[in-house]
Amino acid sequence: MLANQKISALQMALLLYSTVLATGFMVLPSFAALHASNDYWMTGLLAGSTGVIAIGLAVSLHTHFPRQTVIEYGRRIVGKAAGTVIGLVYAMILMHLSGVILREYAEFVKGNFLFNTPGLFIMISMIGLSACAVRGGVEVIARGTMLFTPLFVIPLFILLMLIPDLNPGNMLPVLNHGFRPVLQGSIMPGAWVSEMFLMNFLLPSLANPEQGRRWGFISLTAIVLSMTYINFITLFLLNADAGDKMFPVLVAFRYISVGGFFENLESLLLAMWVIGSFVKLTVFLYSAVVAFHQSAGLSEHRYVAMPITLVVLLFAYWDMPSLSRLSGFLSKMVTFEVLVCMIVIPLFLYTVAKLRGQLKEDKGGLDG
Amino acid sequence: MTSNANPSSAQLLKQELQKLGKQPVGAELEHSSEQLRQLYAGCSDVVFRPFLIGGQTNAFLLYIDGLSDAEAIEKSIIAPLMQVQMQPSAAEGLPKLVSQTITVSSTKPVTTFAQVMEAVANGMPVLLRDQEAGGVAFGLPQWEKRTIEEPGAESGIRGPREGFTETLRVNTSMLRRIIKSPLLKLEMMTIGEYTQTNVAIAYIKGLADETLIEETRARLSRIRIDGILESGNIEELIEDSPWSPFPQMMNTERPDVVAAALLEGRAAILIEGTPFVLVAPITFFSLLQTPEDYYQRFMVSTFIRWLRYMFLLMSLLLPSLYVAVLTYHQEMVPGSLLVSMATAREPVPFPALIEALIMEITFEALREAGIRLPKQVGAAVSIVGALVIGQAAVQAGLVSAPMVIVVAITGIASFMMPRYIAGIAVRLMRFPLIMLAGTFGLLGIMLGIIAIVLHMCSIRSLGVPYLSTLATFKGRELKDVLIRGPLWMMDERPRLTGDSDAIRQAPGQMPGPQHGGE
Repeated sequence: MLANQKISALQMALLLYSTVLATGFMVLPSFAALHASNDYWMTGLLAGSTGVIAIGLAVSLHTHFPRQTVIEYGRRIVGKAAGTVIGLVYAMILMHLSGVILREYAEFVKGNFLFNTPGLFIMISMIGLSACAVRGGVEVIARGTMLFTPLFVIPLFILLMLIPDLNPGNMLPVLNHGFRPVLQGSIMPGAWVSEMFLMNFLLPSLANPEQGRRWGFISLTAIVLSMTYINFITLFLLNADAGDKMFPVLVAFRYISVGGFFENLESLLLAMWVIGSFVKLTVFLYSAVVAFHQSAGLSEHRYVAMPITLVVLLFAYWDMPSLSRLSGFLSKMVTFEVLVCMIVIPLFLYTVAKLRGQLKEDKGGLDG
Repeated sequence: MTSNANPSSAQLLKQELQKLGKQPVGAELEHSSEQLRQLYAGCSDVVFRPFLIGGQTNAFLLYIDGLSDAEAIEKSIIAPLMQVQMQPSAAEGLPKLVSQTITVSSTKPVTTFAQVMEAVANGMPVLLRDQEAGGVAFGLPQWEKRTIEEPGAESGIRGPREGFTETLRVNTSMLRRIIKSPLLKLEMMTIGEYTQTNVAIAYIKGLADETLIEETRARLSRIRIDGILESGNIEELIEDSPWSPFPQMMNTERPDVVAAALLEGRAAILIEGTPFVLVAPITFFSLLQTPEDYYQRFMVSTFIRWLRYMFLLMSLLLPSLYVAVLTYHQEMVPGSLLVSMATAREPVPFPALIEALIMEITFEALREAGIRLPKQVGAAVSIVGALVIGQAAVQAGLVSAPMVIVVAITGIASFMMPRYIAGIAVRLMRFPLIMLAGTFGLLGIMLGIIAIVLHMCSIRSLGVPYLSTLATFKGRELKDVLIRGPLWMMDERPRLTGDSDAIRQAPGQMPGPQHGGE
């Protein structure tokens, strides 16, 4: 199924853009500001470095094992048994992360818009759509994303209506507390950006794989720029107080008031949030399904889509008892979990392959 | 399997007909004429005309009254044959006789009863002669047909005024008059056990992908049905996603639309008995284009296209947005507007969702009534619609005036869709969206939109993704989707499936004074 469906490198870039930024816009400014105070606008730029590593790993491993995902070449690098274990670890982590994304989405909607709607219903309606998209295959996901991306990006420009209220002076003093807090604040955005490694599940479906690297980096550039843009807007508007807000972007949208007509635009953010979460959840769910069906050696990914959807729903519903626990998990554990999955394991595989001489002519690897 | 053990009388008749059809027409005229008389027993329109060729040999002519040109039969078949002097030997037979005496331009030998039946049904009189196997059919079909008129369902300001008719041959001739190259192919086949409807696949060899034509042919020949009455019957039996509300083929009454599609490498299916021709493969965006887009100045057309896209979104979303904002997101409405809306809604006893559903359903009913009613009563519907629904319902406090406005704008928006079928599909989508808006507000609308887009991304028209160009991002072709690019910029054909001749015209044809004659 993977081989039959073809997407373009541009579509992959758009998928990755929404994947990283969907939840990124919401939670990252707040967490980054918590550590880096009024220097948190730099975190986006620093976070790009993990993206470079993730793309480098995904692309160079893919060039040596063409048309294979991390699960498939994992087996070839560390042997069948260990490779299968790695595959199942991936499937597990991805399912769990999907569950977390779903929960984040539901908490945001429930906490800010539909106060009385049961959370389970919000989750089921979203994961149901994602499951349908995953069943339709990567082509359907990619084509849908082509149409959704403008809906996801355009609301960002509406924030420009805030220009009269922005105060660039909030940047000062720069690096008042030294560089350490900025580095600390960059870890979490870095974990988010490292999700670029998910491109390894998309690269085998690329119609023009030689373009994968280029578009990966274009996507990364767009991500870093967008993140920095959002950081600047929230910083200029809220100063370091952004760290005290759960969703600084939501506050920014609420703040917009132009000509007494454009007011209370947070519903636009809701629309954007639904679209972004959908794409992000779908990419994660797709990766989880592919990881599982390849580790288990099944021929058709559609059959495992529904059971895995159910597992994701269980993770989302039962794993976290409350929003505060979710928030704690996001700020402490998720960074570790994501980085293991997106950087550590691939780096390990890359090193082993290098040592075993499986990467003979390494052109355009990590240093690319 | 009971049907095999005890075949019904209809099946017996069918088998008998098939058996007879396979038999060759024998040399003994008595016998074959008896067989044919039995076959056509009870068919009052079938004419048997026995006569003597040159006063000696028995012969008879078989045709259907009203399908063949009786005057021509008399003048150019019966008269010369009765007066002929020469009696050709059995070896030379009918063909020689025909070639020497008969002045009909097109003739065709027939050998089996099946061929005789087919020829007669298509208005070709069949001549059988004693002591000779087989016969000859003459191409003299003539029947009453509708004249070529301006198509009723697709009118425009600029462009050809003629539309297809119910007669296949007339339709193919109209296509041939536009595309004169012999590379325009018109493949014939018959579909339908009883109707034996003639169906033609039209394409331009070299422009249309070979596999595409093969696929079309295969899908058509797979049809086993008693009758085909309209192109809709065929469409429903050969489309890619039968469970979709969206049309995956375009139907049109206009030869210029079909010709344009053929020149882009698409295939057309023409069906006897209906002026509606099917065009496939299509994308959703081709349903949003009119031929006039290409006949007007490109800036005008671009503007009209944008207008159309805008109103497409409106016809899909306006009522649901209104319901969502009124029910869940009142804060989005500016204060003064909210007050006037609240005043208007004050006497209305229903929640916005119910109000919207009442009005939308009433509107759909009015529209349907307007189509079906005889023209004389048509005016009554609009009076009832405008006065009772619009005026009285608001005054009685059943619905609010803003809702009437929303429904009216939505109605107009849906009429802006150039293809009726596409407009109806979008209108259908409106109802689930209103429900979602009434239950989950904007969130529901977003979920609905995601579901619709996902569905449209997953369906195909003869193998071409429904939303291609935009969703598969073919940069160069976007100039015919987002805008209507100037003709001199459209050097390439849209890519559908496979490879075909991509170059449409010579590049660099942008006109200007420097390109005038030296």
